[in-house]
Amino acid sequence: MSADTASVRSVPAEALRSPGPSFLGVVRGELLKLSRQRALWALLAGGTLLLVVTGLALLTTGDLETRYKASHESFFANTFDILGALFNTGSGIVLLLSAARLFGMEYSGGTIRILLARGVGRLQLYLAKLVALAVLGAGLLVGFTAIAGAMIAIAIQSWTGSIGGLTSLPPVSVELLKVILLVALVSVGVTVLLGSTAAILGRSLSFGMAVAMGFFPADNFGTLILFILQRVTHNDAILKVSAYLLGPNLNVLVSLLEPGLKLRPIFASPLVTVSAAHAWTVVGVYSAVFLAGSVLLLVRRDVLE
Amino acid sequence: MDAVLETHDLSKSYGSRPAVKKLNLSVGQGEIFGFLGPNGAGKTTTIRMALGLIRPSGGTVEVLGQDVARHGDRVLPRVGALVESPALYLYMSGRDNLKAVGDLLGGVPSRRIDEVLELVGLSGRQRDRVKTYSMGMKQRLGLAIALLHDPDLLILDEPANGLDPAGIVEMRDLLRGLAAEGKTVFVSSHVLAEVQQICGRVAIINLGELVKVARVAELLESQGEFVVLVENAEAVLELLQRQDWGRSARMDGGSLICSSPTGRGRDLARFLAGAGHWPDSLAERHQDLEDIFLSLTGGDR
Ligand SMILES: Nc1ncnc2c1ncn2[C@@H]1O[C@H](COP(=O)(O)OP(=O)(O)OP(=O)(O)O)[C@@H](O)[C@H]1O
Ligand SMILES: [Mg+2]
Repeated sequence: MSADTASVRSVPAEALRSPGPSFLGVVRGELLKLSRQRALWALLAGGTLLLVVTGLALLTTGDLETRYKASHESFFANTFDILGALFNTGSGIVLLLSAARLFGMEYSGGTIRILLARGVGRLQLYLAKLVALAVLGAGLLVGFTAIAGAMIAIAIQSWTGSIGGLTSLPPVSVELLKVILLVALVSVGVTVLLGSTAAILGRSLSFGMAVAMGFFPADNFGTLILFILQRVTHNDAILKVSAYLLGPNLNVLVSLLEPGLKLRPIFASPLVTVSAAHAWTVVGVYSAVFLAGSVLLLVRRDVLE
Repeated sequence: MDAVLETHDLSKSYGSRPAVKKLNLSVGQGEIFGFLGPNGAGKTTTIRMALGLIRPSGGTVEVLGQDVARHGDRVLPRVGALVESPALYLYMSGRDNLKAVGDLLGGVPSRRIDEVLELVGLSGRQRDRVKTYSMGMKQRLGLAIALLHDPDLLILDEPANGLDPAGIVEMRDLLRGLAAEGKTVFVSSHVLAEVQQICGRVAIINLGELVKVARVAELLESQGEFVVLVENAEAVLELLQRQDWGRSARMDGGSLICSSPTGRGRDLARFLAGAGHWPDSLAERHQDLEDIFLSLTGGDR
């Protein structure tokens, strides 16, 4: 600290005088914090590698080529469905960790006090973090689509000598693609809300990470437990519980929205028949509860960190 | 003098335990105001309320003329704060920490970041992750964050924590420099010698209650007393206590403590001699802030 520079300010005072917190500025700060997380980059690199390696392994087996040649529609239905589930799982892991970390570290490191002590509103901070995570989610979707699309294009090119099969998709496949993208976006949204709520609730990085990462495995596995319980007790009401779990309803959304394709969800689905409206409602209610819970906790509680 | 920080019957309880009770303070522009109290006195709690981090259970805090609980977004951007140990993003570099905080108010020019890094002496380590900083370096970065937006009011909670002697001297000069520019500094501290040197006024709180607000100079001079060694001390004490100027005379550990009719030692000596009590020794009793602090907060030496 040098006293002689204390009064020297090369930057004009007006340039440092802000009328108040800036929402876009807060978002930019959050993106900076995200981008400096080495673990995130490592996860993305690992995920990309995994995607490319498994993709190539699948596409080079003769089976898919035969399938493609037999029916474009069924090939695309299968491929898009699998890729969609893969994206939801992969992006889910990345986003849950990132959301729990982005919120949790402010509590664990106590840095939430420097943010709020500058006059940034609690709600403003919450929304800015959600926007930053949404940007990450959108980036993941774009990146995943580009890599997956390129791999399919390369495969089709090698099978048929042109990528015409991909550029002029059958209408049914286009329809499915739209549904899968919609569900992917919804899944990004719910995941971000879940991860942030966990961190805010526990006001801690480790609690947030643990709950966020445990949630989907727990409700997927919970479905299995419910199934076993029903077998033991012969009480059918137990199965109904599975219709209200978040993960299974998300998993089943695509097949419910595209019933004609008779897709079977890869991960756990509700043990009783549910309608698309039901699945949407469950997902909507969970999201609303996460959102309202986070806002309430953030706004009402004193910051003692 | 415009009040830059003002509390009105400010109170806070954690559950049923009161931490701050009906606190009334007023800090004027350009002051370096010391906020003293033993551990658990309620200093940090008061500072957190001034920064809108916790909601008062009663009363209000006004910063730069606005109620923080209602209009924090208007005035807090003009406040720089360091609460308890500095909160930092350990995985980011010192420079990125400043950038992230700068972004909150829409970003600061990169030159300003260079400048505050220079100011706290961290230019050489700005690209290193904060994780690798020493405690004093973290404290310096915390101070840089507080100074980043050239605040009108600086609220510092124990800023000397972890600083080496040179760092403490530098900080003292820095705070004086800022006050000379018309900025207001509100600083809580345990390092009383430090406060004595830089603060114009101090408030002393104990168990959440304000015990005293006074100019440091006044606090120190109002105690102009003498330690007298004299035979028949009991009789002398009685004699002194009968004088208008001598009512505060008392015995303290075998020696007689009293003031002088004029404030000067020679007049006390003359009075005693005139009454036939020639003192063996007579010495001015110097109290520093620490003595005053301990006597006001009931602490023992
Ligand atoms: N999060 C909390 N929950 C419950 N009580 C608290 C909490 N934080 C502080 N207190 C209580 O409030 C009182 C004042 O604490 P505060 O931290 O304001 O003291 P302080 O003057 O800053 O002390 P120190 O010099 O040790 O930093 C103490 O009795 C403390 O136990
Ligand atoms: Mg404290």
